Amino acid sequence: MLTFPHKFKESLEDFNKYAASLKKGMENLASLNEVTADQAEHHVNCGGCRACRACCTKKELIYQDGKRKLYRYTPRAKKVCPVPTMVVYAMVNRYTMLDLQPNRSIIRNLLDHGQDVYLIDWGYTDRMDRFLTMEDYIDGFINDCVDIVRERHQIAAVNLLGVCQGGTFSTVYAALYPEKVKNLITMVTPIDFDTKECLLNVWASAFDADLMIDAYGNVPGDMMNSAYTMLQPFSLSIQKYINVVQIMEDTDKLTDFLRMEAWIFDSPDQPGETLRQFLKEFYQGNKLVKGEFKLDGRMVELKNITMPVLNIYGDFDTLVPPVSSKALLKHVGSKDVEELTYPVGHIGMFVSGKTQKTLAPKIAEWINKRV
Amino acid sequence: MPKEQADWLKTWQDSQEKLMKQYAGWGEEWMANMLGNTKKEPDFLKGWFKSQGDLGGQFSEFSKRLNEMVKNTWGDKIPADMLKFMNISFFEEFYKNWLSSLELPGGVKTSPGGDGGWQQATDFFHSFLDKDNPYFSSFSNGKITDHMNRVFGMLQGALGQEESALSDILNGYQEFFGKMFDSTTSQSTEKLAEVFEAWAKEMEKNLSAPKLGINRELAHDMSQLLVLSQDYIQTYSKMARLIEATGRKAGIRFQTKLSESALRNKPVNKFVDLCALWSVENEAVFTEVMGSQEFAKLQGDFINAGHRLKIQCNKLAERALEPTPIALKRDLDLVIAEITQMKRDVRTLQRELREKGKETQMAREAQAAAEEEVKKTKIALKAAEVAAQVEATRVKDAEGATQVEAKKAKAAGAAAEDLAKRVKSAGKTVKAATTSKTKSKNV
Repeated sequence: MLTFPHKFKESLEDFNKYAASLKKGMENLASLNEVTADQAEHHVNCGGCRACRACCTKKELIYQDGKRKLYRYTPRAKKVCPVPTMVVYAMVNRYTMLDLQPNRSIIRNLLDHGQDVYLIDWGYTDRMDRFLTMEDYIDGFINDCVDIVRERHQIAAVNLLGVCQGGTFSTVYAALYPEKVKNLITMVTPIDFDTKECLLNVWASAFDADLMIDAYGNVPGDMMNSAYTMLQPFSLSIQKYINVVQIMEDTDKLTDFLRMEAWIFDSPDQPGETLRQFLKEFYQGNKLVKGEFKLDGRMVELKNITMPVLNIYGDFDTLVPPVSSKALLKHVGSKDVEELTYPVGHIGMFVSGKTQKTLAPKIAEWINKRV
Repeated sequence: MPKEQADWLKTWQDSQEKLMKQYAGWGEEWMANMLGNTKKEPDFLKGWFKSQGDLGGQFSEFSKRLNEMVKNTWGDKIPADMLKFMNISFFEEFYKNWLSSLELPGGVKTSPGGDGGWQQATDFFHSFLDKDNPYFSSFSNGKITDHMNRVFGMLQGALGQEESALSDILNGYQEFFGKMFDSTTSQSTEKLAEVFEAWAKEMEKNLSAPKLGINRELAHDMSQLLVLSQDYIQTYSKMARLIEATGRKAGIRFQTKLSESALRNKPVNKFVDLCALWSVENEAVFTEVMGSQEFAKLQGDFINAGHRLKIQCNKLAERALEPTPIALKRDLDLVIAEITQMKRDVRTLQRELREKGKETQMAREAQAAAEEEVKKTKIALKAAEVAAQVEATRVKDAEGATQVEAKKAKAAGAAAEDLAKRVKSAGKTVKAATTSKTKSKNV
């Protein structure tokens, strides 16, 4: 309790400082128009990334199937790995997280370390995608893209790098098509869904996925976002915005913050049938680790994953808890398996300063030893 | 920055400075009094509350104007969702909370902030449950009352009635849901659920009344809507009760932490620190509760109830549109499902074609390779024939030479034999001559 007036005075002075920061921050915010306008030319390279406010690494459209696109990032190193790496991002949020800005870009870092990087962009789901299933995404789009890359490079197998839900898809793919995957890299990927360490897993056990899909068709991205915010409601809805005032005076930091916010709220809707399968088969049934998951009638057996596996996860991930990711190595058939952990959260894996300098080089080194 | 905003910020800062001076003067007076340097009794409460009121006004205006500024300067550049979360009015709320953590001089405890702001955290959580939030309301971008409005509007249009029992139901719905989302306590929500039940029964009676002129199926669907709505309100009320209890628990924990800090002579008197403490303590309590099976079940029940209600609304909307030429959602879904399947088939065919293409290519390559092999074999055969002929000639030549050699050898043999004979004969002659010579000597 603040009994003494001088303490109260101190409090007021402190708040006045805070308010002054806010004032400067607001001026800064208003002037950001010019800052972003200067960078307009870079949007040419974004390939439709509506949230981008800075440079994106240059890429080329290789293949398109409706909304889904396969990009190849322009190599940046003199010596490029002969086996390309194909990145499969989650359908929740956008892949732009991997290439947020020049100094926070795992894509750019991989390119700088001699990797040849391809990426699947799932696009923005709309009503026409309502009945697309996991078979369509895995047996269809991922398989097509892998074949295209194999053919372009005249190789039998590619490196597959799956992120979050994209990691789960990549794992399923690698189990079904092991001959086409040279190395499998999974990042912050949920594998074992039977955990109480994440609220999402607890909540998922008690609601009817069928009702949700039947009610909505495609599930709105807004709704998914609200659910994620609920995982840390006070930190993510209030504390974050209180704290931002203290960095608003710094244009770079403010732009970084806004870019990040824009990414967070850039959430495509989830295709109904795919989400229904994902929730029922994985979140509620945990069938992948039980060895009961079937894709288009074929049993997906993780022991078929015999290629080298690198599993990367964050110690403080609240969205995909480490225990869920770590399970992968227990179930694969490969003898060459490795784990890489960082003291970061789910998003921190891609944007934190702790990972920027070391993550991509380690992945590149791991790949290079195995091609 | 627009001039108007810049002017406002300047005015605001000036007022803030002025207030600071007032506080400083008031504090000095109070301190002097405490030390006994003056006998003048400061008018604590008057000065305090006046300043509080002025400061409260300052904060309130600050929040309001800041919201406007954010929207004006950034509204077209960031997603609407972000703006929704970036609700600056929480500065005002926090200010109230901050004030209520203060203890008045002379041991008079009061809550100058009035309602205690977000100390109980329930208000904050209520914002998650409210009609605009897509997560709990289960109605995504539309408010539930708007949704109902549309459905009932369509039904009325379809039935061609301007005034009907439908209007009564719609008005009732709007009233109930409006109250529900505005309820600040779980008690009032529970009471509302009871009232709704009685009202729904009354409405069900109306549904079967002839004046409405609706068929049995539609009456059944409407009745079902009432039942599901009741379920929705009841599950909402259960959730609200748990959140309220958790909010109380979190509030006590926050207050305890504040007191502990004060007792350690480290009062949390900075705005940012207070916010951080509030956030951390509330989050700890809430996430523990939210991780429980009890919460998961309540939330699951609430969300399921919302989804059932939404499905029923959709069904009613479809029913209203049935007599019209407008395509129904289910028709569109069928078409989309069919197109999706056709795309799948095309993909399978394309893949098969690619495979066949590869097989054909491989067969062509194999044929070309085989033809090449035949050619090579023929050439090799010819070469072998030539080589064989050469070899044969050589062999023949060698045979001729051998025969000549044989003849020569034979001749040489004969000569040798002849020579041998001659040698033998000569030997005999020599022997005979030697014998006769010996005899002559002996004689």
